[in-house]
Amino acid sequence: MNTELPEALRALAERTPPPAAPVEELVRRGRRTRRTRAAALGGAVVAASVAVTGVALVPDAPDTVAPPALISSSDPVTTFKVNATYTLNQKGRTPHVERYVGAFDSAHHTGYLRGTQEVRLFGKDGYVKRGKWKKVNDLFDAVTRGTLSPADLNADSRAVLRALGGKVVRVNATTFTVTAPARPVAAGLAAGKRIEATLVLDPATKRLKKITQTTVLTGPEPAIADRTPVHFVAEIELSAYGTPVVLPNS
Amino acid sequence: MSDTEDYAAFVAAAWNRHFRTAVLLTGDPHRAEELLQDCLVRLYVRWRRVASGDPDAYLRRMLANGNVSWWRRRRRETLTDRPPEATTADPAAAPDDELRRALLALPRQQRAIVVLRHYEDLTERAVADLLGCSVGTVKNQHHRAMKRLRETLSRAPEEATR
Repeated sequence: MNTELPEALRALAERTPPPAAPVEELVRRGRRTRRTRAAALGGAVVAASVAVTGVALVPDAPDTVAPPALISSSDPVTTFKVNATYTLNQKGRTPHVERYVGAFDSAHHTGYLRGTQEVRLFGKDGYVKRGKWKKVNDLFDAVTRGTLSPADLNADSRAVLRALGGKVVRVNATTFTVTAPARPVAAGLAAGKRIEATLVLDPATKRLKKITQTTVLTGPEPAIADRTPVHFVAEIELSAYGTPVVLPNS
Repeated sequence: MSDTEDYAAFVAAAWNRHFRTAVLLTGDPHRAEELLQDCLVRLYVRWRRVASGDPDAYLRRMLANGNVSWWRRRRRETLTDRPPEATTADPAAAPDDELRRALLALPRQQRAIVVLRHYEDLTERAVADLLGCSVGTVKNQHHRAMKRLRETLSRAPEEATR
């Protein structure tokens, strides 16, 4: 049988004439699959990590000597320390979590985060240290993905609620929930469309103590469906209002 | 030649051969075409990495392993814009096809081993590498598969004469 079997298998296989190879269809499906993965993973999972994001999205960012010094004042409303946790959840994958500490001066829209990597933010752009410092354009958009960044926050919860926009629900004296449209981000970035935010105030001072923002990232190409959406959660705790932003030794 | 042109040339050249392997693995030309297309789409995504090696071997591995796990993933119903032509008889589905029925009676891994050993003419070592198992497993499963094939094929004429 061993000698007859190959011949018999060949005859069986050749009884069905192969259909024409759908080369164009396969290339089109392959491109779509590649783009979907890029949108869901490359543009989201990598992107959502605070520091990794900027570098990953701008891989050719030239090395630079050092970021400029932060301009900061001591203000009881706009300068503070932060603990930030960014989490990416995608079905079938282990959640990706990055934790950072830092300090911000939102009056100057500037500050730093230290954790997995060191990030310094200036206006819309910023610097990421990965061995050497790299300047990254639109770093704020890459970090926030349509949510508010630490540099958009301050002690005045009403100002933060105005910045978020959308519908505000007062849960109790110190907790508010907001459903708001996401802020626009730079072209080509995966970002959320709607933000679900919870603001918690300090009961004694009524200053903003913590903000949790959740959104679902969608790729920059709306025509491409994402079967496994990435849920992005940004938790930012604010403390030590009035402390000037002092850069740590790097 | 760009990556896409390179890939298209590979598909055009490899389609017929791998389609026939897929027919033997799945036992159905429609399922074979669907499995082959799924594997080729995934191959496109990895083309840059695979092209420098042996894309035929890579595709063969995807087909063999894909067929084992395929039914776990696929739903019974699949959407189509083109119903099958009812008047076209499927030669591979002929009821008197003893070898086809005997092959289909094998567990999927044993069927893959038979096809790879006797149709693709791979060595036991190559089949083990391709399926991600030991040579001993291939030998053992091959032995069982051949025994079962012999039994099924020897029973077939008796059943036909009843």
